Amino acid sequence: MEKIQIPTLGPETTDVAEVVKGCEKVVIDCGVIELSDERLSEMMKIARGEGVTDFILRNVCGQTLIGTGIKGPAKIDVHGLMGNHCAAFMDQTVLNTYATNFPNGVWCPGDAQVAIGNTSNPTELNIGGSVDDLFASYSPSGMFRVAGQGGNRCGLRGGAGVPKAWRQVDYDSLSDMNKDEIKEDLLYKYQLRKARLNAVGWREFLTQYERKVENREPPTLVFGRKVRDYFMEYAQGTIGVILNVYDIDDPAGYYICSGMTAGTAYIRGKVSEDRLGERVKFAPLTDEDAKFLRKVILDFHETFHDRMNDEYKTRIDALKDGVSGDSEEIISQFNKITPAG
Amino acid sequence: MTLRQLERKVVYDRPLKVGIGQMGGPYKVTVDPDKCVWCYTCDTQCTHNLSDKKRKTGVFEGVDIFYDEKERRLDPSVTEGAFVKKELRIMDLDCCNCKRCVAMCPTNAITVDTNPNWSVIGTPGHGSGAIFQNLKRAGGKLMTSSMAEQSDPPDFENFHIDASIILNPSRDNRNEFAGQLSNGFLGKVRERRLKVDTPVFDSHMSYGSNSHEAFLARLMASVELGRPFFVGEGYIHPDFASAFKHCILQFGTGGFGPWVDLTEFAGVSMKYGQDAKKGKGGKLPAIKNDWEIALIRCIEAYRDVNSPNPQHLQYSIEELGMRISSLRAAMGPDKLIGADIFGTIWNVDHIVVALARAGFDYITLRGGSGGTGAASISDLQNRGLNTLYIGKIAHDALVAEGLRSKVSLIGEGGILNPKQAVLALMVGYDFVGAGTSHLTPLGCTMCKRCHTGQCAWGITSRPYGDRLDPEFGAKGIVSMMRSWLRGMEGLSAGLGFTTHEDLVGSRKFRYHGTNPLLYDTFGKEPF
Repeated sequence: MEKIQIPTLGPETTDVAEVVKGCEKVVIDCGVIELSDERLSEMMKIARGEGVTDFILRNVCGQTLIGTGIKGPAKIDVHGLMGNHCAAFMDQTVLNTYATNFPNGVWCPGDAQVAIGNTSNPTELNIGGSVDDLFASYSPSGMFRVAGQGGNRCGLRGGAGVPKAWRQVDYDSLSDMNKDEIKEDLLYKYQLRKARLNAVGWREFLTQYERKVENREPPTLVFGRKVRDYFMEYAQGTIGVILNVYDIDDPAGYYICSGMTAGTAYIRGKVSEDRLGERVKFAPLTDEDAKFLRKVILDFHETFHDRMNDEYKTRIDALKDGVSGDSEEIISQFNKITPAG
Repeated sequence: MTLRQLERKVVYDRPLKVGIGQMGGPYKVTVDPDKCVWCYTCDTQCTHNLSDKKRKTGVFEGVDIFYDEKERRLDPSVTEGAFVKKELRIMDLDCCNCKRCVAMCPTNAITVDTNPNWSVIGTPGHGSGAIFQNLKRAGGKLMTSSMAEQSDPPDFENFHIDASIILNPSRDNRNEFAGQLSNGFLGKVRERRLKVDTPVFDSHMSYGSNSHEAFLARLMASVELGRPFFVGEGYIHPDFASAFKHCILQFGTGGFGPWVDLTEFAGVSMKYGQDAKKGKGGKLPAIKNDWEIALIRCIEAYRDVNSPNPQHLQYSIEELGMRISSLRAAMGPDKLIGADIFGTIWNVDHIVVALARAGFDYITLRGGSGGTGAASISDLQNRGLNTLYIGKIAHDALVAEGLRSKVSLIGEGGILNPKQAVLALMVGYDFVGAGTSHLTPLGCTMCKRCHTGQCAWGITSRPYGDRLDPEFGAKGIVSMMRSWLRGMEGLSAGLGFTTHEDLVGSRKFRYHGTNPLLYDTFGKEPF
């Protein structure tokens, strides 16, 4: 069998399209500070356009715009520190970050800076370190896992999931329409809608959408350690889990879930009433919650146990052991927070 | 001649048609049947028959109907032994309050009063004058006035546009290439600027705040008029996908929408504040947040949601640039990115300069006196500064910093007619936005019930949306806007201008009112 060559792009690469032609996997060497943010973003866009689905970014040190606007299915592995606003507007993409050693021997954590994954719909976003403020803010759907801590306002205004209809629109067939064709198309679609509406009446018409609403998957945020203030502020359907493997007494800052209209937060450890935000309350855990949390913990363990340091590994191993079998010990440490009324 | 009187009657005619704008005429004519002597002087004196010029009479029509003993109709030529029924028919739709009938009536039986159905409508700043003028424009009527025009709302009154001065003599836009305003561009960077045929835009109004039909009517009108359509913060229905390339998506506070198809739109607007709601954002009451809205906005249904607070993704003004580069990377270099701000009391100049330096393609400035469907009443009372004033501040600041050629300015807030739109362009805005006026051809009477979801015209109530025909509504908006454009081009040609660029920032007007802020700004030359 012929061995598949994996091309490497770097700061010196000029013709990206030529190098990546026919490849599914590509390595980009960011050279610590050599490669600029805009050029890196451009390279990834061109490579994605050529059909590359697997990106490995090495020696990343604070580059922004990584994965911004990348449409999947694709996979991005980042070795190093992601900069501000990375993974924004991403769609159906898996992004992992790993700690790395730079060529000069300096160790760099797999952390990420501010506003990572904002307004995005990733399949998975696994940060092998800590994140700062506004992680996963405005995100309508996706799985967000962070091994370490989160900053302020993580999960701000998360949505309740993207309906399938949005991914089924065929934009290519609509791109060449002139004014009159557009108006004709709009009116045609309106007539279809009106016919459906008149056939069943307004109440039943809306109920058709109710079924679609139930098929959505809300964004899920999982933090290995604690978060700071305003966790899931104004959330609109997000599910947040704080596993808090280090400091059981201090899982989150103040104003937890302030102004949340829908969604649920599960926080392991001591949460006093005065730390809750406006319009939210504690709720009792149900069997379904326990089942969900077990699954989240097992997935979290599987994602991170290979890439973290030994101490962290022992702690999440203990967490996994605590939920295997019928043991309720770990599950009972969770507080469930839901909107009040 | 022995005609015997059977009956005397005053008949008020039924309206010619029903529907949007059919509230009768501005005046109500009543005749006191106890005083009337059925001389029909009023019939001969009244000349007004604008609603149907084939009619031989004006507002009054005297009709004699002849009968025999058994109440059978007879030919009017009979002169002997018949009964007669005298009818005075009144069609006050056409009355203009000239009071000639009143003056000529021998028994003083006629009263001409205002028609409450016509005049008791709207709000003080956006009353019957503005509403019915725009409705006439929507009906394709030529807007001509004699003697006097109704007054402007307080923020725009007492401004005079200069015309016919020696240095640039007035021209005629109908017979020569003058005053043309259909040649502007939104955005100033060549690779992504957007050709605009109509310099007056529709404002950001959400899908969800408007019914499907009202939204569709406005969208179709904007496509027809060749201008970008500004989607509100509530994203947009996938049925409208074919028109996405004409739409500018409002990022707003980022809370609503799936964000999977950003590249299909013509651009995005970031919301940093809006006129009537300040940073607070609108409220979508639970009753209006139904299953379909919840799907489009990616939220849970039947819960009160609001679009709170400004952008959290900027901590500071320095971070604007980062946000822009993130959006550019997501959308590509050929898409517009704009910012929506409101007329803050002091720092408009600093803010617009910061936004222009950050790389925004256009800035929408929302002045005071604009309306909104769902704001707290105390916010509504505390609206921003005058649209014209902040436009001047912003334009001057950008010119002083050498940034005016990099960014377009859009002014919104309280603009109800073409003269005000021209004033806004002359202050320094490239384009103006007029939101509420676009609802008038759909039937809006400013009854201020938008937030209840009970709009009887089907504009802001989704269950009643089918009362509105989107195609008819779109036609109304297009006619209205074409009429605005004619009016604006006339004024621009009157100033001796040729193109859109000539008018923007030309400042050939003067304020002569008593508002000290406006007088200091626009009352003394040069400004």
